[in-house]
Amino acid sequence: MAHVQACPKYPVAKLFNVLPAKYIEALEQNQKIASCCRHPENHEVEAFYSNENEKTPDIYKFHCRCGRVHTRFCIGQGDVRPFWEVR
Amino acid sequence: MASLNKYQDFVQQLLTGVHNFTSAGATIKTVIHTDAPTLASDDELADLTQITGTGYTSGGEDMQNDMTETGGTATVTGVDQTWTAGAADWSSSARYITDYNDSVTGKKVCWSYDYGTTFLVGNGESFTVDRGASVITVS
Repeated sequence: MAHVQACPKYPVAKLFNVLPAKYIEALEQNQKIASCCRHPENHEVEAFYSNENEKTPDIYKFHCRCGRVHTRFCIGQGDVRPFWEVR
Repeated sequence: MASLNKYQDFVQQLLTGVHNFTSAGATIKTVIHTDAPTLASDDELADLTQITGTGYTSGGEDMQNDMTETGGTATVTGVDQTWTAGAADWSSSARYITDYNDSVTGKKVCWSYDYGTTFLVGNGESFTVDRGASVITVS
């Protein structure tokens, strides 16, 4: 079962008002990742549905310009799932 | 959100007093595994095949669970958990997430989630499980 793309890859810097603060802070505060990865503005983010039956995106992939990917898998309840369109 | 899939024996465990989800009760931990859960028969952590790799500790991570009840609805909460691969890529492909009770004999499994496809965390990359406002509610 393949993931279904929900939102296209887009610069995080242009989505600061859309992405929950904790998404940003998780990158900034993770001392185990490279310094470039701790700067959210270095990333592009894309969203996926883990399966075609999902109604809201539940996977967010942050692509750093260094090539590394930081993935967030949303399995909890009652949170806001950011969604964006690029036109 | 990804679907929460209960292990069938968990329902019986709830009604026989196996679990205490308050912060003062059991420690609920989260593991990442490669094998699909057999919901009808898996009931212990040993039934699962965990991934291996730098940055992943066998037995998983503490969810820092807590439980509150209001108006007849119990809500279990937990914190987001992040694994970061260091020194090398993870040595096996992951797919499933399972929460289990680390405080009881046999380390009973509770529920699982399917990422939808296998994934590998590369050296210097991270994987976060986002718990949202709550993990599970029971009413």
